[in-house]
Amino acid sequence: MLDADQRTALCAWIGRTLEAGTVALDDARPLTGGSIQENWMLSCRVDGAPRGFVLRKDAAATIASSRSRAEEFRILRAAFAAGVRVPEPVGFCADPGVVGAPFALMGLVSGIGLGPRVVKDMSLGGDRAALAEQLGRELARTHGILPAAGPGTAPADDLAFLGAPEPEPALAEIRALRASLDGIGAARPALEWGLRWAELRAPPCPRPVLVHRDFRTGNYMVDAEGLTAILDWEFAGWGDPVQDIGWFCAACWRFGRPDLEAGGIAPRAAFYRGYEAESGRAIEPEAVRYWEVMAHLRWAVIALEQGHRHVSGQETSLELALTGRMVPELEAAILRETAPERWGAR
Amino acid sequence: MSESFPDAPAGAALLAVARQSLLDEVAPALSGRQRYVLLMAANAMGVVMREIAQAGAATEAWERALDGAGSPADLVAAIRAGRHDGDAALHAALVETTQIAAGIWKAPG
Repeated sequence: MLDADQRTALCAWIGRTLEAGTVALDDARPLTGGSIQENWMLSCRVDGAPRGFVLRKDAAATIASSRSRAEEFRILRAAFAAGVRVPEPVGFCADPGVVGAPFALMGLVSGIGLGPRVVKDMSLGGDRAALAEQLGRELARTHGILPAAGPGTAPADDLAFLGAPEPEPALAEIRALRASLDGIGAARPALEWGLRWAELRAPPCPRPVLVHRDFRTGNYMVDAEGLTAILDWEFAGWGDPVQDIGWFCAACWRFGRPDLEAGGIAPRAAFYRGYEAESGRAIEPEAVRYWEVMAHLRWAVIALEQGHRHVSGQETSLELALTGRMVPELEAAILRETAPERWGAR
Repeated sequence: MSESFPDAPAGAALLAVARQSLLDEVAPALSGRQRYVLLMAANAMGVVMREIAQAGAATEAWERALDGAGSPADLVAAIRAGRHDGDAALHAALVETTQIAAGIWKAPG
């Protein structure tokens, strides 16, 4: 909860950030969702006019591969500037004295994000093929953000913290996943089988772009008409654009609609159509299939890490405990896609 | 449970009736976060019930997968080193262990 001093400090900070005369905080409520950060919805009056914000700060436990709120905010700002539909980035406060931890402040966007609800509730999201097509366009716009490579293409020094792109992002991902497994002492032969398969056929990446790395149903919001915002940029970085396409289409993110291969909401073709139209580049189905295996591998490792937070005693949680136990389902999917006959030439 | 264990119902059966009671008598009265937590708890109880029932099969399948490789960590090292690339026998054994574990996580069918 925010105490009286924090509320006063927060209002003063918002006032300075927006160069506003008066800021009053009428309501602050915790938002559900987000297992690695804490989100608050703020109802304010800025110079008398009602305005909603979302305040986002780190929760008690974070997982190793997620970025700090400060970095996430800069990525959000770059996406906003590139025309991706994201919440308006309002400001970042590095001073932990205001609300107890550094935080990002964003404009409030209405909508529903919960994956199972978005998939099942047909009163949401508008026409589903159109929604998938727009998501394809939004992703392509994200992939238009490039590492500084010359005049007109630089994404501003704002993203310098991302460092240089990995020359071989798939191999880098495999190294990171193995390190994560080792870090929590997880010996999972089925995942290792999949990782070795992926290592032997890791594709080159001649054109690294900004990848979201968690672009899936559950991480965007919709209202009755359609898309309202792409959320959760904390894993973004330079990488292979096909990674995001594979993550979005992977069977593990279809929320009970395996037949709708674009995130459980539409046929794959609609999503591809939007992506290809916006990016001007054709999608290679075999490359997507590779990254769908990688998606299962990565989600399995993240699920194990989440389960480990409970198992290690760091954070007692039934949700985290159950997440750790869902891994065999992912392993089964990985083994199906990497059967011995698929170990031949690429 | 050993046949010499005298108390009935045994653990898995007791867990089953406890789970069913929660679902039948408590869940309908709950909403929101409380209902969600109860359903998660019932889910966890179901996992434990199936784990008890499948304990023997799971152990045997793991032994087949390891098949002289040593510990799971040894097998992991061998896979990373490329000593099982495309190994059909290992793949079949891993499919078996994984299917049992996946069936424990979620009731088949």
